Amino acid sequence: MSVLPFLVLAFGFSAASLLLRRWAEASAAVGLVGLVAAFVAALTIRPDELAIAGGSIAGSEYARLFLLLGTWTGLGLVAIGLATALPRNLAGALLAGLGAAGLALSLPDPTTAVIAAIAGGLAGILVTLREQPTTDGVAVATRELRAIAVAGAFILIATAWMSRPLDTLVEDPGVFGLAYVAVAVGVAMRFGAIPFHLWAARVADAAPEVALPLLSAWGPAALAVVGLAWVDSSIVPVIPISGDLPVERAVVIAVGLACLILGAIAAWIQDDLEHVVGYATVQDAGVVILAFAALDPGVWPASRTWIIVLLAARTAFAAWAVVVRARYGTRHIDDLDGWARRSPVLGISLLAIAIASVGWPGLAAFDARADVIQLAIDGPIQALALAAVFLPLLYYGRLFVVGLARPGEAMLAVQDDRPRRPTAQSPDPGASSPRRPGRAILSTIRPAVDTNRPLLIATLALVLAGTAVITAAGGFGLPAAAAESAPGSAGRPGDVTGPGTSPGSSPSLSPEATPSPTPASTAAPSATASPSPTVTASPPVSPTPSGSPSASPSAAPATPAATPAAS
Amino acid sequence: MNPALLAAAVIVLAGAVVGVSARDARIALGGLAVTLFVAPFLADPLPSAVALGTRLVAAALAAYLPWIAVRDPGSITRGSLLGAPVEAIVGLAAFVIGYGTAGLGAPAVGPAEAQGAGVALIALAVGPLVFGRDVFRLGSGAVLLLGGVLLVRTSLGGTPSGLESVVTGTLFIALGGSIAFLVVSASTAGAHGGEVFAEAGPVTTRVAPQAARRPPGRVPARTAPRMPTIAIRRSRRPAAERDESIEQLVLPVEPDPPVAPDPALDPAPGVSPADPPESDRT
Repeated sequence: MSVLPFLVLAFGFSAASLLLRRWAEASAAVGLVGLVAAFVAALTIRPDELAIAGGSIAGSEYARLFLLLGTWTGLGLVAIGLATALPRNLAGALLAGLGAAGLALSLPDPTTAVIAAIAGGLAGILVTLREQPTTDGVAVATRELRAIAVAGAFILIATAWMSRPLDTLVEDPGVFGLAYVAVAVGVAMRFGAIPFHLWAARVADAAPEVALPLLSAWGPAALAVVGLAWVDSSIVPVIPISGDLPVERAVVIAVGLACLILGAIAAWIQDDLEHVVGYATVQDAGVVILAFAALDPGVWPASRTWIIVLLAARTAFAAWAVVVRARYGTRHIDDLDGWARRSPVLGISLLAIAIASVGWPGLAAFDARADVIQLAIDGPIQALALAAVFLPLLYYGRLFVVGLARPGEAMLAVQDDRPRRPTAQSPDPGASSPRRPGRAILSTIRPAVDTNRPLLIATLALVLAGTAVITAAGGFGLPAAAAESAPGSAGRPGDVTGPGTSPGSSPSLSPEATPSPTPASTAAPSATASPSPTVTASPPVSPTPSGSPSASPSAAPATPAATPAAS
Repeated sequence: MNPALLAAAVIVLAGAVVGVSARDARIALGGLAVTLFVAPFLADPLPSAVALGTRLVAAALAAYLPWIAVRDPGSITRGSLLGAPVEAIVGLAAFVIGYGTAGLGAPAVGPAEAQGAGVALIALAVGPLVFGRDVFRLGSGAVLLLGGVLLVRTSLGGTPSGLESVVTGTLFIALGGSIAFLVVSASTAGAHGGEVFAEAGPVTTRVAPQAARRPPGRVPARTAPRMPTIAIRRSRRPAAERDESIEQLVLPVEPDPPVAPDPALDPAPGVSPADPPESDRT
């Protein structure tokens, strides 16, 4: 029930903002109000469940944190956009994307959640094009549409295949392997992971910088969370039967490692800040892909922690790039000699972003990423992957070296961070009217804002970078929220029943399974909740010593014996 | 085999064939609309009235949004290179395969006809998605792909719940809105008939009807295409024997200079600019 106000506000204000897009200022104002309203609504989300239209919508602490960060950073992006160059559709698209993400994170049925996440991804198309579209830009946006559709089709087929009685298919590991790879590849395509990165690179080139977080991080992240929940509930419990899928896991690990290593190198050698941001996101997405390769319930909290950190850090990085371009008039790194000397606030912002995305042992983000890698990879490659997490120091180091260099003539001409008094202007004749106190205040504030605009937008970037650091340190209750069960599962915060008990997401394994006229996803409850003639693959889960959700292999229904009870 | 479901599947398939093969964007959109309207009926038992109504309203919106962009009589799309009969045979073959493999290895909860139609839509979507050169055709492929996958899901998992119908409807509305946005943007960018992907091939001087009607001063210069290209060799037949419809498939490799007003295209006295020459309509 608590998610419903957020959804109504997000979709309502999104529609209003997009309908008003012809009037840019009105559209932005409606979008800003909508983001504030959605932020307040996200604050009220709590773990609960609402039965609606034959399904259910469940609130959770994780969804609350995801949406709070989304609306907060969205507000920051729109504010920076207003001070620089706001794409006409950004506020509306942000609200639509966050609304769809909120819906996807709240739906217990994985197939429906995937549909919602795909619909949310389409919102990004609205901000892929600049104000004056070109044929190249439209081609890039069209490729994005194709990537979203194909990735969504992969994941939908896989989830639909598993979310019904499987009969004798359970004995065929190839079925689970195929479905598992389809979901992992679909998520990799959405993130623009290597080798599916060509369209994402073109999007980074064509889209406005301020829209990059929505395009390359927030939309794919919601899909990744849904995909991880599905893997944890539909694939992990059947590993004792189907085997640990070595070939399929190797493919996923190869994709994850390629992102982790090549993404950082690509970001390092790029001369364009937008490309650096884009490939940095691809590198972080490599950890998410590796989480799919773990096939271990212990990866659940670590992967969800990393996804939130990724979102906060990369949104801050994109905001920093927008501010750099706005202040120095270029996005080419070679032309930015001395940027940090001219703007220490931006220098501190980049340092904070580097800390959030690289970190050190003991920091929640660093430990989460290390856990994912250790659970996904064994042997010497694990050491390679663990070393690769420090590769971002290459591109952060390059940016700092350039920033601390001696500024050139052009850089010296750029206004520095020192606050300035507005120059004296001719008084506004209407401002002195006692009937218009608002106008008087505006006439006082506006010159001060205009004069100090560079400092203000740098400060906004610093606020987003600070948010990223707090998130990476485990602030805002991130570890507890990430360890929470998937929506709709029997467990609740504090329980460690794990997502494996999610009703509807579990494949039925019994050969005697009776086809039901309703989808298995909604009709087949888990064995622990309300036993049915269908034995589900979702075993009762037991807490591990570390507190992470753990499926009990002994509970896996290796035999087709049905539990007697009514559905 | 349920005759009613089979009839619905045939209508869905027919709509999809029209959607991928018609060269008038309005007719192609009509085919897509038929597919979107009838697809929710491919379930056994039928969804609840509310769920069905939701899907129908969503289908109407999903078709109406692109209609705003393509309702211009000059709107062209590439259509199928193979032709409608071949597309129909491809769809029919895919339907038989889908019907025959209903359940994908295990008993299906939903009707086999839904899987047949779903596989047919997926097969028909491959052409537009892989070889689509204009925005509308590629968008149609996306609609057919996701529509087909959701039909397969109906066959595997049974009738969708009301909530799933609402979310599915939202997805199709978002798809329709995205296609409309891209088509309008392509038109604003000056793309011929919404074609935004470059092809290797001979340079043509043919101007699309929409561009021809635009005042010369407002025609934007086209930028150099940078997308990977697919070479389509030109026929060696004499020009007189060439299919005129092929002419619209070629895009310039080199960037066009800003289009100068062509006296031949200037509307003659007494001829309305909104009424393009018949040869430009395809």
